Amino acid sequence: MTLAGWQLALAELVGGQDPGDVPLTRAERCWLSEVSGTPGFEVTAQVRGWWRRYRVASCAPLTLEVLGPARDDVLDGYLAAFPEPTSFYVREAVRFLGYATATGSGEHLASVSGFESAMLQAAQGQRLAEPLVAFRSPPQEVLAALIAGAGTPVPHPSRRWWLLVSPDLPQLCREVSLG
Amino acid sequence: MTQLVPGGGASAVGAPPRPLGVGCSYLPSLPAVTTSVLDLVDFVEVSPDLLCREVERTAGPGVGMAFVPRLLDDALSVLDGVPVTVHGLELSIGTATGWNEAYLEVLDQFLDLVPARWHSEHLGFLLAQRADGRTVNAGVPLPLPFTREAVECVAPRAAALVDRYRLPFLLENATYYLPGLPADPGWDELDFLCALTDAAPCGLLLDLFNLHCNAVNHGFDLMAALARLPLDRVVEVHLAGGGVEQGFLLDSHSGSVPPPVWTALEWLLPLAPNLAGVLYEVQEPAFPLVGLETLRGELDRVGQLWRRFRGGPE
Repeated sequence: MTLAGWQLALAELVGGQDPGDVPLTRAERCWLSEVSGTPGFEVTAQVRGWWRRYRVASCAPLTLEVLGPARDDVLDGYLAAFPEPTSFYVREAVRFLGYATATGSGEHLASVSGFESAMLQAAQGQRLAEPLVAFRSPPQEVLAALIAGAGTPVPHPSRRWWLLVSPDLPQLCREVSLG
Repeated sequence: MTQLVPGGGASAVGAPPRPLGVGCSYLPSLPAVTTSVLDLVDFVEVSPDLLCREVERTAGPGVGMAFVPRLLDDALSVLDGVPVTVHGLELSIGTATGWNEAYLEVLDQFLDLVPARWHSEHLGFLLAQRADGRTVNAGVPLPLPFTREAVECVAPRAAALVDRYRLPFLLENATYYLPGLPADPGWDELDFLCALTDAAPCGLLLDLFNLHCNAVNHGFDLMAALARLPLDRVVEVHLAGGGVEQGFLLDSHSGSVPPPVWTALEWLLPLAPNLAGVLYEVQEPAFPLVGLETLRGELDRVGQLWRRFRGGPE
């Protein structure tokens, strides 16, 4: 057998992708076809999915709270849109947060996902291209409500509150006023 | 005494490491957990990749890795003065087209900072390569087929790691859920492990819970399997517990060590002459399920067994 081809085909299959034109022998194709219908294959693929969901859930709890009942659909959509995983928690979560902002809905979604994304990156010592995060209600009230699982404040129609996020700040962020 | 480097040689790398005793996993986001069990352990095992973030690589294919300063500083602080071993996750030593060089770059840096007693890797593959050179991350460690081709892929890499770090290197037997893995005629998982340890200058990190999972899930006898292994090559043992999902016992590191694994450990302890450490393994995601009380209880039990069979006050 050709180890490289077998590995590529198996990795693609476990990730839900068609191994397509990977050069394989007839016996290898037969094994892959048989194994992909087994409970053991299903569990292997599920473990892969659990890890991806865990990485997102552990790094982006507030955004998932904002998404509310839609969280599972958004997460499923993300996993389908970005089938290639990463082993790195923050990389997976930041990618999810971008997807959630673009496709999800909910009051304060952009603010909270932007805040979580910025904080995750700052905690790793990364400089942010956009260090300011805008909120449409006092940030502490929004975040405290999400942590408590309570209703978030009604967004102000015009006023904005700003959080500056930076790896140089003692708590990584602080409120700032602009202009 | 068995040399870990075939052909003997007087190199210190070839000698089995000095026994350490009982170990625990370092949990990067929960450094206080490690601190709170230091009275029960003789060494702490670190996965340097868990202290890293993903970065663009400046050279070569694949994803680069860089230490997160806060995580590295916390680890160095907690581990100061504590014997350390290294257990890698990201090397993908069994990938036919080549291992993950980015992990070795990180390991180079870590071993410059921390004098590890040995290092180890999971026996399997995580990465594969498409025809256009792009890397596919399987997202979950996958097993190797039980073939000579796989042995010939891994063995020279183990030798290269011994040369590179001048440290004992161990390979860990994996859990797998896929049935009927391809195998050379007459070979099974145990033949494969024996052939690999025979061909490679490395020791065996025998994960008794992984082997127990495979015995349960694939229907073989754990103790009969153990008896077929070259026990003089076992340098470290991992213990863990896990849950059942869809009829499969999972290597989820989410619970107490089950009775058959304790039985296997008691059988093994007097028979593995080069065993240098036994570690109760917990993963960060599962720590809330395990809890500190269970962690301390399992470490205490390992310690009692270690002292009974390997010496020291009970």
